[in-house]
Amino acid sequence: MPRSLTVTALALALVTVAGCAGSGKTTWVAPLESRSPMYTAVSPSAAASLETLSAVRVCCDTLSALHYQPLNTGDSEFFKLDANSQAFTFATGKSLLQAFVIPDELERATLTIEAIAGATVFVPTVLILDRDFRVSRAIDSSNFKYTPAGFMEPQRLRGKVYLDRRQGGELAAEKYLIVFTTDKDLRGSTRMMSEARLYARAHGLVDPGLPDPIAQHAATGVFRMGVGDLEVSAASTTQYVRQQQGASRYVPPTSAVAPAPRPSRPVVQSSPRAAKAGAPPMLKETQTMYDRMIQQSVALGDMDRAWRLVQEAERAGSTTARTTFVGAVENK
Amino acid sequence: MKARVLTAAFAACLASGALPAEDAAKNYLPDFHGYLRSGLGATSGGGDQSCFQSNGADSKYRLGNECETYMEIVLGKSLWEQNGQSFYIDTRIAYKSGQQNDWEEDPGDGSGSNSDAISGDRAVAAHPYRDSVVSLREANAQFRGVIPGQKRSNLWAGKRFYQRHDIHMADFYYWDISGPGVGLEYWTLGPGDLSVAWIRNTDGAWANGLGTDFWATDGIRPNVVNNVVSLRYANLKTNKDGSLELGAEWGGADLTNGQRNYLFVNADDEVYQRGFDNQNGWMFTAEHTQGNWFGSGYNKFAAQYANGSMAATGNNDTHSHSFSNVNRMWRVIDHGVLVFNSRIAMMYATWYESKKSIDGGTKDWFSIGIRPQYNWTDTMNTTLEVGYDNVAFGHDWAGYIPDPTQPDYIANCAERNSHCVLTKVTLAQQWQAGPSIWARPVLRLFVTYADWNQGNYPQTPGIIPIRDTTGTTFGAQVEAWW
Repeated sequence: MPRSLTVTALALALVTVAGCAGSGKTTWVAPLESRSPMYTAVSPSAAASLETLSAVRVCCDTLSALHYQPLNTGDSEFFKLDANSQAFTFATGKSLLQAFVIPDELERATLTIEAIAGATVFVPTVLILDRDFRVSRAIDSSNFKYTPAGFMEPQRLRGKVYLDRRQGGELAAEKYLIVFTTDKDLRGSTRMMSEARLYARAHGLVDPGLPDPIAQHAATGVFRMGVGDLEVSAASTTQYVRQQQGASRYVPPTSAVAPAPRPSRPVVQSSPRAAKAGAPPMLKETQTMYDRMIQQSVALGDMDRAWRLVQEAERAGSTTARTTFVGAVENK
Repeated sequence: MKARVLTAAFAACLASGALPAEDAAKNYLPDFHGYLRSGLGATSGGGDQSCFQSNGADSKYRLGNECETYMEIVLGKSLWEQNGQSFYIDTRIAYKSGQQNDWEEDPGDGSGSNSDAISGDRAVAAHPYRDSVVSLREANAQFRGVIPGQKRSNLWAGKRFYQRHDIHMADFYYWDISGPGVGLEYWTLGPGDLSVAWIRNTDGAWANGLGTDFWATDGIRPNVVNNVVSLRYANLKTNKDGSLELGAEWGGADLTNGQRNYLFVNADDEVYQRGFDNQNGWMFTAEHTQGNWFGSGYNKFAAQYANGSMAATGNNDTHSHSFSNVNRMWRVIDHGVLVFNSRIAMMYATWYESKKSIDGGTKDWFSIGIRPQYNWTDTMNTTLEVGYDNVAFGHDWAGYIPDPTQPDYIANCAERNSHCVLTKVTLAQQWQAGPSIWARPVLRLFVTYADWNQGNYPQTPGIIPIRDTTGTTFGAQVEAWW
């Protein structure tokens, strides 16, 4: 009898330990690979994730009607995209999403977004909206690159989003952030690095010669987001402009509309066409500054920088940048 | 007109991708990799943890059976990249200590400790505060993509862990010629990838019976240089997830003039040998790897044959030695991982090795082990490891001969026509960063039981009475790699 009691107690203890681990957000541990039971519960397979997606009702017609949670500027946090998430029909397809409101005091920041990869992975695209829920920028999925499991980190798709509201204009008005995925990304897969290969790297062994696992892209998943200081090597103006240019294609024309659209206040023009279409001309001093920088870059032999300056200047309304560039190249 | 042409030409140059990546944000941090294991243990009956390895066996099953702290710090960095080519610098420093004290220093003069003292004899010999060693194990540069269009092709030079093959659960490196060297690896030629290397290792004077006082006798300096020339042909596809690797390695001593003409004299001043030992030999290896073997597991089957100077292979050492008492070795190895489902996975290994010495002695080593793991949760599992070693000695094998005149004399199992047997069983409760059998870090609490035959002396000397044939240890250990 005492013996069977002991066995029962031991079994109970084990069941208790097994039962409480893995439940709830706080005990969630990033799985290091695909066979994690917890992770497959979120994304058992790409096919199952699509079923989850189709079962979730689209919440609303406009982005302004989404529920936005405050962005935690403290510790990094995990977020799930599952049956309990909001869904919205983007121009690129229906998607589960997580929506955040950026606190006003967070003027400059680097957001690191890491989608945990296992049997499946949720490939993020990030939209940034202004105070009126108009799309300001889009950070497309190509910015989220596969990163093998590293020093105590799981394997993941990792990318960064820079916020720099001190730059003024459209960047200053940025207020909301949405993480979602597109139909196009859902059709793909990501090749990962096997743990045997990581073991080999750490130990200086021969490559194990084993096939790498593949993560199917899924409509559900998990990502971690952390907020840090704006990096010195953060996005250039060019990059912000490019992110602005591509942004509109993610959202159906009507859905982002705020009650009363106001005229935009660009610091950097959102489209080169805008310049040609008679947007305010560039300040004379700015134009001269660009020309001088282009000439300097050519003189230093940094053609890449020079050419980028030309593009940037033209987008901002310069009419002299190209001729300055050509002149500088010819005189060199 | 001219201007337009110029611009067009420049645009074409942009489109061809000649420019560096747009977002080449500089990252000055090096790649940080590494390994560590540490912990503490105790032996039932009193004293520090004893570790169990059979006489005559070159390895032991490691779970709950490691008595030292070992760490490797790996720092590397790609310093230059262009058009699919890059220059990579890699370094690795290893630290080992007896895991006996807070303060464990490297005496620096080779007197207080060496690697063997820390692992094996420390309970007898090693100073408790001076039982640490530091070893510079890798320092090399690699020119990756050296052959245009072949990303994996790699021209390298420097100290390097060279394409090592191991069995993790036994910490057994069965194909490892690492050392200072130079080579070109993974040059795709025909159906496979060719690797060529010249790698060096060196024997001290002891290889010629001149003792360990190699610093005392000018005549025998410098140490004996042994070269290995390695040819490997890998990644030959045999089926969808299967591949074959073939290797041929030649090793030989490269004596100086002084060493070639050195006269060995006996007590009567008679010359009994002219010149240092100068052996050479071959080693041939074939290994087949099968991926997608029971879930995401794999199986590796290897066969090796070596003769002459290459036959003295042990663990971590398939180098050449200028003198080898063993002049023929062959072994077959099968090991791998099975993944049954998300809860259960298992490592397994078995091998048979046969060695023959110059005077006809034989040593045949059979080993088999399994390490199944059951995941209670993502981060906690119970792991069992069972390992069995049986080493049979034929006639005239130079074993460890005990002195029969001593009062505690026991016939050593490592004698002619005898054999040494050891079985160890470890049960461990592990907290691990993920459910995979490869997931690390892992923190484990373990109990290890070992059973051996009389005269095997497998345990750390002095902790377990010499006539005992069983032992139990318990403790905690952490292991990590990244």
